[in-house]
Amino acid sequence: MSNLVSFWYRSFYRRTIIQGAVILLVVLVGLALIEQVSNIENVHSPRFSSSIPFITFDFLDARAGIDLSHGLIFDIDSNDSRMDAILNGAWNTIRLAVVLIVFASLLGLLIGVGRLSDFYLIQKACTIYVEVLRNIPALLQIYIWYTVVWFITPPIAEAAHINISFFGANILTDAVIVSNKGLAIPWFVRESQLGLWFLLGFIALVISLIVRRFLQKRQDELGGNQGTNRYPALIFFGALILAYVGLGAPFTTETSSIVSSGAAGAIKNYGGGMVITGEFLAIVVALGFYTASFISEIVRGSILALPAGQTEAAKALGLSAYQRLTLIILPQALRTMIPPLGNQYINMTKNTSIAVAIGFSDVVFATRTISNNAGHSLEIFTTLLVLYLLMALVISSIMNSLNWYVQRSGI
Amino acid sequence: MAETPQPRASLLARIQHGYRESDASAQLFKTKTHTVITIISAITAIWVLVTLTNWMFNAEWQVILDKRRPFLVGKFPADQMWRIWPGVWIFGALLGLSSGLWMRPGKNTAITIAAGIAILSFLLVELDSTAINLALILLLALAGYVVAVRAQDSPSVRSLISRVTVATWVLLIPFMIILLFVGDAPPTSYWGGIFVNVMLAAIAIVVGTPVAVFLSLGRSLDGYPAIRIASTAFIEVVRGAPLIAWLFMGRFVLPFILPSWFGMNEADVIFRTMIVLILFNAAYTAEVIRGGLQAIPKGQYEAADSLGLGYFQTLRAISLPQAFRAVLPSLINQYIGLFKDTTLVYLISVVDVLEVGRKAFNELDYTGTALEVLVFVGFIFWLVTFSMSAISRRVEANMGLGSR
Repeated sequence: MSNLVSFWYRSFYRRTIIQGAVILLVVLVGLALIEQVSNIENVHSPRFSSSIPFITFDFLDARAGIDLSHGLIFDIDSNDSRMDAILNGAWNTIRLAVVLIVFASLLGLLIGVGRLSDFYLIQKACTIYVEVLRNIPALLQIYIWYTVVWFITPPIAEAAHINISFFGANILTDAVIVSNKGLAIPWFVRESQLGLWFLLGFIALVISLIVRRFLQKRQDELGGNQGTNRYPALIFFGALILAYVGLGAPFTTETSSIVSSGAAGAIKNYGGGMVITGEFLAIVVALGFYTASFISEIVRGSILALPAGQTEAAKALGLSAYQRLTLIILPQALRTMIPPLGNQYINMTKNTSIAVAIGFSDVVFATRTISNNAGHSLEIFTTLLVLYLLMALVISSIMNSLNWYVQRSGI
Repeated sequence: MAETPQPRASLLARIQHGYRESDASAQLFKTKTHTVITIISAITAIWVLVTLTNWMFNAEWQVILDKRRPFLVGKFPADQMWRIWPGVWIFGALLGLSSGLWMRPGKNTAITIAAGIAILSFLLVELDSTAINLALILLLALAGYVVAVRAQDSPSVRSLISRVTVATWVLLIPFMIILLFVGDAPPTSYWGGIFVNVMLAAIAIVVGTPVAVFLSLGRSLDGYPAIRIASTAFIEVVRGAPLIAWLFMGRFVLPFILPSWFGMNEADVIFRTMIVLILFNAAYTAEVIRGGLQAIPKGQYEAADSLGLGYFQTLRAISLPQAFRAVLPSLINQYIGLFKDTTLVYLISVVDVLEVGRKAFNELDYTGTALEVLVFVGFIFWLVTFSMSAISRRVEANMGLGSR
C-alpha cells in the first residue's frame, strides 16, 4: 500500500497518468463526434447526401442564389458562388467594425474625459449616459435606433434633398438625400489609371516621411521651427494633386440621384453615389453609443490611475486645461488604456453579429442563409468560426504592435 | 468602513463661500467659462427632460398593460404558476438575508430595489392571486433582513445563518428546475418573458462558474501541458466567435453531433440554449477567475506549501477565496453582460421578454407602439442590471476591496 502511495506521489508518474487520462478522454470524445457525424449521412435529408461525403467544402463553390445588399467595393449578385457571398458578408462585418471602432473610440474618449470634467452638469450628464447605456442590452438599443431611423426618415418618394449652397449659389446639388432607404452621399467613381495614382501617392508618402525625418534631425540640431510637418505635408499633397492632374483625373465624384423603375416608375431606388442604409446607420449609432459607454470607463480608469502629481505639476507649469489633457494626461493614460481597449474592439466586432436582427447582411447573415439553403451546417459553422478568429487575430495584433510602440516610445 | 455622511452646504452657501476642489457642484459658477457652460448645459438638460416627459405622457402605454402576463412568463399557463412562485419567495427571503448579512444596503440601493418591487407590482397586479404572493415576497425579504441584522450580535448564530443562506442560494436553481418539471409540467416551449431571461442567466451562472473554475485552474496548471492546452484551446475557441454564432450552432449543429443517449439529440431548444450559454459563460468567467489567480502573490503559495497543504487544500483555503475576492467586480460585470446577452436567444426562437415585446408591437392592434414597448423592456433590464451592479459595489465596500 505504501508503495502504491509513494508511486502516486512521484510526480512524474502522476502527471503521466493524469494527462494520459485527459488525452484519452479527448480522443474518445473526438472519435465519438466523428462517428456521430459520419452517421449523419443516413439520417440527413436525401437532397444533400446523395453520394457526397458529409464533411465537404465543395458546396461553397456552387451558385449562392442570394443577393447581399449593403455591398460596397465588392458587390456580388445571386450568380456568384457561396464562398463569395460569405466573404462579402465578412467584408460587411469588417466595414461595420472599422467605422464602429473609430466612432466608439472618439465618443468614449469624450464621455470618459467628460466624467472627470470640472463642469458639474457635464460630469453628471456623462455619468447618466454611462449608467443608462451600458445597462441596456445592445440588441434592444439597435431596435430602438432602427425604429427611430424608420420614424424620422421620409419614404423614398418624398425623399429630402439637401443641397450645399454658399451665399445663395448652389455648389453641390443633392449632396445628401435622406429617405427610409438610407442616406445617399456623393462618392468616387473609378476612371482609368487609378492604380498608378495610388502608386505615385505611396511613393510621395515615403519621400515626405524621409524629408520629415531629415527636418526633424535638423530641428533637433539647430532648434527653432524648421517646418517638420509643413514641408512634408506640402510635398505629399502637392504630389497627389499634380499626379491627379497629370494622369487626367484617375477618379471623379458622382452625386446620387433617385432612379425610378418598374411599371410607371413605381419602384424608386438610389442610383450612383454611396448609399448608407438605415440598417447600417442604426447599428453604427446603437453599437457605437453602447460600446462608447464601456470605452469611457476604460478611459476614466486609466486617467484616474495616473498619479495626481502629474496634473498638479502641469498646473504649476501654467498649462491650460486642454494642454494638460492632450500633452500630459492622455499620452500617459494611453499606455494603460490600450490592452483593455483591444479587448473592447474585439468584443465590439463580435457584437456586430447582432446586426442580423434587423437584416443587415453581415457574415452571420450570409452563413445562416447558405446553411438554410444547402445544409452542411457543421462546415459552414467552422468557416464562420475561422473568419471571426481571423478578425480577432488581426485586431489583437494591431493593438499589440500599437502597445509595443507606445510602451517603447511613450509617444 | 461605513462612510460618515458629510453635511452638505446649500447651493447658495457654496456659491457665496467659494468651493472645495473635490466638490464639483460647488464650481457651477466658479469662473465666467463655468457660468456659460453651466447655463448652456442646463438649458439643454431642461430641453431633454421636457421632451422626454412630453413623450412619456403622450405615449400609448396600453400595450404594456395588456401584455403584462406574456412579458412576465410568456405562455406559461396560469394554473401552473405554483411552479414558479416558491422559487421567487425563497429568492425574496434570500435577498433580505444576504443584504442583512453582507451588504448593509444604502439609501440608493434601497430606493432601486423598492422601485423594482413597485414595477413588479404594477406588472403583476390583477393577475391571479398575485397580490398575496407579492405581499409574501416583501414580508419574507423584510423578515430575512431583520433576522440577519439581529444575528450580527452572536457570531455562532451569524455563521449558522450565513451557511444556511449560501447553501440555499446554491440549491435554489435545482429546486426551481425540479418544480418546473415535476409531474404534469407544461413543455418548455411555453416558457417565455423575463422568466426565461432570468432562468437562462441563472443556470448559466450557477452551472458555468464551477466549470469556469476548473477551466481556469487547468489553464494555469504547471507541469500538465496536456490539460493546459486542452483548457486553453476550449477557452480561446469559445471566446473566438460571437454568442450568436454559438447559438446558431446550438440550434443547427448540436442535434447532429450530440449522441442519442437519453434522447440528448432530440433535446428541445431551451436545453440546447442552456448548454450553449453554460459553456459560453464558463469560457469567459474562466478568464476572469484566471486574472484573480494570477493576482495572488507567490508568497501565499509558498506559505501554503510550508504549512504542508496539498493542492486542493491550498485551492480551497488559500487561492480560490482570494481570487474570487479580487475579481468580484469583473465577475459581476461578466454576469451582467450574460444577462443582457440572453436577449439574443430569440434568434433561435426562444420567446424572451424582448421577443414578447417585438411580437406585441407587431400586432395590428398595437401598431406604432414600438418605442413604448422597447423603452419598457429596456427599463426592466436597466433595473435588474443596475441593481446588480449597485449590490456588487455595496459588497465590495463591505469587503474593503480597493481600500487595502
